[in-house]
Amino acid sequence: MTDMLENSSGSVPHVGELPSDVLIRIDGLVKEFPIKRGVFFKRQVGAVQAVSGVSFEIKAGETLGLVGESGSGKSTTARCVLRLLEPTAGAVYFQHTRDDSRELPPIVDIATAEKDTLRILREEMQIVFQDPFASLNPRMTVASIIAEPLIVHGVGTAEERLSKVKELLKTVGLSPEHTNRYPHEFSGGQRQRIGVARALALNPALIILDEPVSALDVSIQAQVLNLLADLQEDLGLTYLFIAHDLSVVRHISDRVAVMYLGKLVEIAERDNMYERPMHPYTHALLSAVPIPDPDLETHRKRIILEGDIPSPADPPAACRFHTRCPKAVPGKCDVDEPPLLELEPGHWAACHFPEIQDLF
Amino acid sequence: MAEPLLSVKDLRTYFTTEEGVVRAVEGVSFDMAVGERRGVVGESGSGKSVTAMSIMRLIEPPAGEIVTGTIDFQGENLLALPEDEMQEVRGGKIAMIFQDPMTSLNPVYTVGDQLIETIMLHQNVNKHDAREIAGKALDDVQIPSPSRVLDDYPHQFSGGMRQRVMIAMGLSCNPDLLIADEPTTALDVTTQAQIMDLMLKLAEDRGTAVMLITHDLGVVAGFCDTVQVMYAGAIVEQGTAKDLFGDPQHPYTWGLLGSMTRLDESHTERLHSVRGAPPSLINPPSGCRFNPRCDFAQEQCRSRYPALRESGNEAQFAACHFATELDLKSMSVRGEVSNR
Repeated sequence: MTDMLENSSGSVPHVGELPSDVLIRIDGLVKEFPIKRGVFFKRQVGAVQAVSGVSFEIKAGETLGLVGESGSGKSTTARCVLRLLEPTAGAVYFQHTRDDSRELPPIVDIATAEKDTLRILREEMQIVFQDPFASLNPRMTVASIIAEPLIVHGVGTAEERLSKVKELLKTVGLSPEHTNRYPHEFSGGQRQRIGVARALALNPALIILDEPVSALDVSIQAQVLNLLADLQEDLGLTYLFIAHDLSVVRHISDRVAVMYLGKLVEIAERDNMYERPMHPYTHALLSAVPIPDPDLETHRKRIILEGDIPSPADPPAACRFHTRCPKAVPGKCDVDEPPLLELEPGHWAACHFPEIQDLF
Repeated sequence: MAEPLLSVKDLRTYFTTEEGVVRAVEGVSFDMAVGERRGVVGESGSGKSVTAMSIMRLIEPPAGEIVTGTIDFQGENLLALPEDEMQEVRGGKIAMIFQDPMTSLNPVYTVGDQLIETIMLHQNVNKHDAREIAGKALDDVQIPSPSRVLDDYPHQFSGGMRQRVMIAMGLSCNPDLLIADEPTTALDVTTQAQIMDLMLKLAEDRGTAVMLITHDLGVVAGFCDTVQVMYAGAIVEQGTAKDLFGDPQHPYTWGLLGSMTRLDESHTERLHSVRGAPPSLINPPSGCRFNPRCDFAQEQCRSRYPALRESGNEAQFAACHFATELDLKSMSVRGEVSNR
C-alpha cells in the first residue's frame, strides 16, 4: 500500500515546490468529453472541449471567484480539481497543510494520484453544490447527512459524531435540535446551510462552492454569503467560488478569474477586475450586469454581444472569443491565439488588444 | 389622469391545499397607464406570478380561485367576461411571456406552426398571410433568415433564441399589455442584456405597456418607470423606480436593497440581510406580515395591518405604519444592522 502511494507521488517529477502560501496550483488542465456515434460499435466522432488548458493558483485563505456563462467550463474545472471527473491532461498540485497527513508527500498531484491518496486528500477538499434541493438525500435525516463524511472517513465513535454534528449545526446557524429532521422540513437557505455543514465536517482546507447562492432569494442569499464570510474568517478556509453572478463574486472574492469557452481570459485582483477590466469579454460581461440604481442604469455604457456562445464541440480557432468580439481584427484574432499574459502586476489577460475600460 | 389601461382592485387569489388555504394574493390593488413599464418585484412566494396569472385568468379551479376583486382592462372587468371572450383578450390584447423558454414552446410542432396558430386565432387572416406575419415577427426579434427558421423545431434553438421566439409570439398580435414573468432568469447575463434591450425597443416602438415580473432589482432599475414591491401576497411599496431605489419607504424594500451585492461597489463588510424567511401564506403573521423580520417593528405592527398609503414622495406608497417617521434613506444599510 505504502509502496503504491510512494510510486504515485514519485511519478510526478516536475512538481517542484509551490510557494508556501499557495494551497493549490492548476496547471494546463484539459477536459474533453468524447462524442460517440453508432448503436453497437460506438466510435468517437469528436470531443466537447469543456476545459482547454487552464492554469491558476489559489492561495491559502483566499477566495478565488471563477465566473463565466453556462458552457464556459467553470464547473468542469472544479470537478476536475476534486477529481470527480478525470482530467484529460494537466496537473492539479495540492499542498496540504495538515500535521497529521498520513504518509503523503507535501505536494500531491491530484490529477494523477492513486485512489487511496485521493481518499485521504478528499478530507481536505470539499464541495457545496448549487441546488440545495437535489444535493441532500430526502430519505436521510440531517444528522446522517452531516455525519456521512465522518463515517466514510472513519472519524470518531457514533457518539462523538453526533456531538460533532450538533456543533456543526450551530456553526452554520441552525438549531442543534434539528438533527432528526429531514431535508424537506427546511427552507432553501437552511438546506444550503446543511450542505455547508456537511462540507465542514472533516475540517477541510479548501471548499469549492459551485453556485452556492444562485437558487436562493436575495434576502436569503445575503444570509448565506455572510455565513460563508464568517466561516472563512473563523476557520481559515480557502474558497473556490464558482458563480455566474458577477456582483456576488465581487462581494466575496479576493481575486477573480473569468472563463470563456473553456479558456481563462482574464484573472486579477478583485477591484482591478471590476474597475480596470482589460479583456473585451470581461467588458461585455460587466456591462451586461444590471445595477439596482435607475440613474446609473440610464447613463451606463452597455456592450451588447451578438449571437450566442459557440458550441464547445467546435470552438472557434485562435482566440475563442473572436467571433463575438467587437474589437476582433481579422487576420490576427482568428489566426493567432493570444497567450494569457501578466499585463500589470497580478493582472493577467489573454487578448491581442487589451485595453482598460471603466464601465460605471 | 387619463383612464388607466389596467386597474386591479382588491384582488384576492387563494389556493386550497391539504394543509389549508394558501392566501397567495391578498388584497392587491394597482393601476397601469397606457405604455407604462412597470416592474413587479418580490421573492419567491410573494404573489407576483399569481397576480399575473389572475390577470390572464389562468388560475384553475378547484385548486385555485380568484375570491374577490376586479380587474378592469380598457374599462372592461376581465373577471366578468365569458371564457370565449377572455380567450380573445388572452394572447390578443394581453400577451404573456414565461420564464422558461424550454417548456413554454411545444416540442413537437415547428416554431412556425405555433406562431401561425396564435396569429390565426387573433387576427382575421388566412394561413398564407399568417405565415408572412410570423416571418415578420421573427425578423423583428432579430432572428436571422426567419422564413427558413419557421420550419425549425424548438430544440434547434438556443435558450436566448427561444425567448426571442416567445417575444415574437407575444408581440405578433400587437397587444396593449405584455406581461413578462421572469423572462431572462434562465438566461446568461450577456443574453439577458440582448433580450431586455430587444424587448424594451419593441415595446417602445409599439406603445405596448409592459409588466415585468422579476426578483432582480437590477433589471427593474434599467427597464421600468414604476415599481411595485410585493411581500407575502400584498404590495408593500410602490412608486417610480427613481424614488423607490433612491428613497425606499418600506423597511422590506430597504432591507432588500441592502442585501443585494452590487457590481459597482467594493465592500468587504457583511451584507445587511433581512433576517428569517418569508412567512407561511396559510397562517400569515397577524398585523403587518413583515413584522417578524422587521428591524423596526413595534407593538402596533403585530396587531394592526398597515394599508398602502402615500408617504415620502408624491405617488410613492408604502404599507408601513412608520413609513413617514422612519428615515430609512439616511440609515446606512451596510453593516449597521448585523444579524446572522
